Amino acid sequence: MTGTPLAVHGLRKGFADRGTTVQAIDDVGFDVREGEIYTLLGPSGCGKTSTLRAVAGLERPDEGRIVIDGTVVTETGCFVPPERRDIGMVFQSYGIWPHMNVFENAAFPLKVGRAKVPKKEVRQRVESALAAVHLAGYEGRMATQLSGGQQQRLALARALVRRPKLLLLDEPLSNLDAKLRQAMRAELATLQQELGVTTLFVTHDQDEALSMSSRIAVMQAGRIVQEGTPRDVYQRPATRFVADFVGTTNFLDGTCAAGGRVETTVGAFDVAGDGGRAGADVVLAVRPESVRLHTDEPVGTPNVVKGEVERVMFVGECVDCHVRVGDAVWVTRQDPGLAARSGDGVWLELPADRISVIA
Amino acid sequence: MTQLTTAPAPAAPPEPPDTRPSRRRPGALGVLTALISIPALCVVGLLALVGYLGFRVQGSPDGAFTLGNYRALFGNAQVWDVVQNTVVYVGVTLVVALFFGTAIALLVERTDFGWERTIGTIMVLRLLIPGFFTAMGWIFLFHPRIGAINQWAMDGLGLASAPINIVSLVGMGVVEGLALSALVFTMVSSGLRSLDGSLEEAARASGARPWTVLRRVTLPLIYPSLLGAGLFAGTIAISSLDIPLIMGLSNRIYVFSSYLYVATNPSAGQPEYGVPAAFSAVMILLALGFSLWYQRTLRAGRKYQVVSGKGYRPARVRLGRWRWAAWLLVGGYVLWSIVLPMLMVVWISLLPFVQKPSAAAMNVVSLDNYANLDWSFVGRGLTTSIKLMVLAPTLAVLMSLAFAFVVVRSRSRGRFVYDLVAFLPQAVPSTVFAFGAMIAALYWTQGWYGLYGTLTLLVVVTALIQLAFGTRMFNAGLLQIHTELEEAAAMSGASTWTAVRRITLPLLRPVVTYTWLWLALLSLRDLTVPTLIGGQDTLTLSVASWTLFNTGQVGASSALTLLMIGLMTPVVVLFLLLTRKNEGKAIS
Ligand SMILES: Nc1ncnc2c1ncn2[C@@H]1O[C@H](COP(=O)(O)OP(=O)(O)O)[C@@H](O)[C@H]1O
Ligand SMILES: [Mg+2]
Repeated sequence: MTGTPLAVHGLRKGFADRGTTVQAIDDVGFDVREGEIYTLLGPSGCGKTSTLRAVAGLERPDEGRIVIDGTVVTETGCFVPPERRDIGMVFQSYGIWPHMNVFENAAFPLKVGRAKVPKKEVRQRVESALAAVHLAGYEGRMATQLSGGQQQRLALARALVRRPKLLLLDEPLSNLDAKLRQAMRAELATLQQELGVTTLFVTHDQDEALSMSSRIAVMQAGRIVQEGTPRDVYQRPATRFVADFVGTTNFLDGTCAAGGRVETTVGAFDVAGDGGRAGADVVLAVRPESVRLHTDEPVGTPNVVKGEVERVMFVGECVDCHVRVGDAVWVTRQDPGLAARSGDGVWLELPADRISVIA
Repeated sequence: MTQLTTAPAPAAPPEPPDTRPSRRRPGALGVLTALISIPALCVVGLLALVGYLGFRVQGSPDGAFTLGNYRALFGNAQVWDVVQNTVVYVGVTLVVALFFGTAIALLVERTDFGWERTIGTIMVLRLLIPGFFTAMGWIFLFHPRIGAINQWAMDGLGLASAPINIVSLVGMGVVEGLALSALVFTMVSSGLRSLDGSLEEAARASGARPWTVLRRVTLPLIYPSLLGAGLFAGTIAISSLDIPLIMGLSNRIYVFSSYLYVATNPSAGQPEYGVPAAFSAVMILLALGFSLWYQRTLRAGRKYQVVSGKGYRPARVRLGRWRWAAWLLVGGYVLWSIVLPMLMVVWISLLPFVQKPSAAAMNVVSLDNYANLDWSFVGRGLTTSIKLMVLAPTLAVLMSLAFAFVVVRSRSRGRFVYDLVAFLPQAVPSTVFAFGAMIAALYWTQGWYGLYGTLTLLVVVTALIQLAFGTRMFNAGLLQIHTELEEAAAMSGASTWTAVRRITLPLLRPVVTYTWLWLALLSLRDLTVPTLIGGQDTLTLSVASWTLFNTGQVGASSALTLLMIGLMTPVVVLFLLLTRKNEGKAIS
């Protein structure tokens, strides 16, 4: 190993679009560590794919520097074409070649590469790659006879067969149906761990990102707005955008007061830490499952507000209880055994350590 | 044309969801089905007639049964020559057309060459330039005796004989191939555009260099488009009369179309219909065979539909230091296939007799050829051309709409038959249809309903031939208009006819306009059908121009051709303005 598997710095890319320029990537930088799954998460159009394609060499950034495994592949005046980068890539639509069978698809990277791989080794490596994705025995099938899930696995096998330094995944699960997607998440994460291949993963699905990633970079309008472990990003969103995009969140505008308290229109709350400079405007963010709901007024508990139940929605493993507090409606996640009904008065407790203060 | 190459949809439209009572439609559709059986029978009847005549002595309907015509085809040295000539000519045409068309399409669609819109427009224009126009231009450039470049080469290099002889089989093939490159270009570009870009990018990311991607992924995947383009270009090469007449007649190099013309219009003696009919019958069989092959390829291609993304274009290959080679190819193509031939025709039209550009020749430049044109002759051609240009597309559009409605909207078994019949005029050389129609009119229509050599016959045959293009366009258009739109109108209380008139036709209007204009332009440039139908009534501008050329009035012929191009220009401009968004669709 000669340095980090992937380092990206100051990446910029604009697309001309009807006279104006869309800044698809706007000063993006990050480092991916050996063996981790690093995820770019963000809404559609925020520049995830463009970033990934720049790493793959399919897009030429306007500015910036990309280093794969110690080799500079993109820099001003230097551009290594995709076929000479040590990568494997799975496309959103898989890009399985319909005129080749499963074996030929998977063997293609070994056959076209500059290093000649002997026939026998090609067979061995393709077979083990196909076995790793549970496609052993399908070698002779035409690629078009595979189901969506199988095509996805084949794409993965093809990306891994060269044993690349870096695996690039562009929303690989988004074309699968919901059930299969769940199953593939675990399978993909397991396979990645077994092989230990460093992975750059792109998705707009927060559940996918949270469950599979080592670290997440949340992107907004071509920039990375927060980077951290899934837990960090979920529990300590740095901006209102992150809090809103990653999971459901209740927001409460407030002003910092002395002693780690924040004043809001529905009362003052204790928050963890010092809460920020007194007098500063902040936003409090609380996750639905962090809100404790009491049907009787709790005594001696801090951070309690009174509200009125508007609607109780049964969603299977829990109920979403919508509670009106002042002008706003808060979403809280409760045990399905909850006895409250529309119109009942309830007390909401916001534990101080579960409140994020967003400046 | 997009249809033919990429989406095989019109051949077998998906079954519309069957949720409504079957009582409502049959009324209107039944009437339509009955109506279109007339043109359908004409198409099939003409082909059957040609087949029948092939087995009659002299090709006369009341002649005795014979196998002699077929024996002549392979036994008679002269006729066998024509067969061989045709094979060579079509072969050269295809090599040239497929090479230039595919190469330029790849440059435009897959590299950072640029100039996409400009090249697209140039190719549409190239499709519309009459074949005899470029043929004349090339003769003025490369004729062994009068060709300017040959003369320069002989003077300058002291050669004893002309280095290039364009009035040869290979020459004819090259000129036809340059013309048909535009067709191949349009079909291959639309094939490339409908390919999911991730297929090629996946190959790049797998370590394949651009050439490897082209060879192993791109070309195999657009194979159906290439095959379709090849077949279509081959059929047009076989049927078109202009280049074989202008470049081959004077030195007696005959191919299928010119042989058919000469045999049925001999300068002396009896016309011969039997051998041409047998020859045509072979062409029909070949056409049917190739169509079957093509349909099977398309069906196999349909299996190619894997999970597909939004079909974006893959990352463009940088030309880098190869840019000059790309420029050489594109620039060379435009220069040699359009600009130079056109300049030569303009030049010759200004001279009293053919001579190469020189200072001495400049002294005799004048507009005499234009001034001395026989204006009553030109006027007759102009009137006929305008009538043909208005009537044939109108009839073709009406028939095609009816065909498309039956093919796409009805659920009877017969719709597949109609779809096939509408495809025939594209698969079978139009020469064969014109030939069959000419004989049918000659033998079976007389007196007040005599059609032989009339404008009516010309209009009907042209419209029948254009049926293929029209139906293909409207099939595709109708498939995009979901039946639920019509059903919603029916639910609002509209009758079938009202629904069609208020909902479907307005939605189809852009396609109808586009199709009509394109067919009008094709009618104007066509030389094949008017020449073969041949009569006083069918003297179009193209025929007039050819007549002048054939009688040695080369300058006048050039002048008239340029006038004709002038007449086409406003329609072409209108067409380009209306179709700015989808140039790729423009194909005959
Ligand atoms: N080839 C392109 N041409 C023009 N605009 C593009 C192109 N590729 C992406 N964009 C624009 O760049 C922005 C980011 O796109 P993308 O990276 O695909 O986003 P994401 O993958 O996050 O959905 C979008 O606004 C998109 O429209
Ligand atoms: Mg994307």
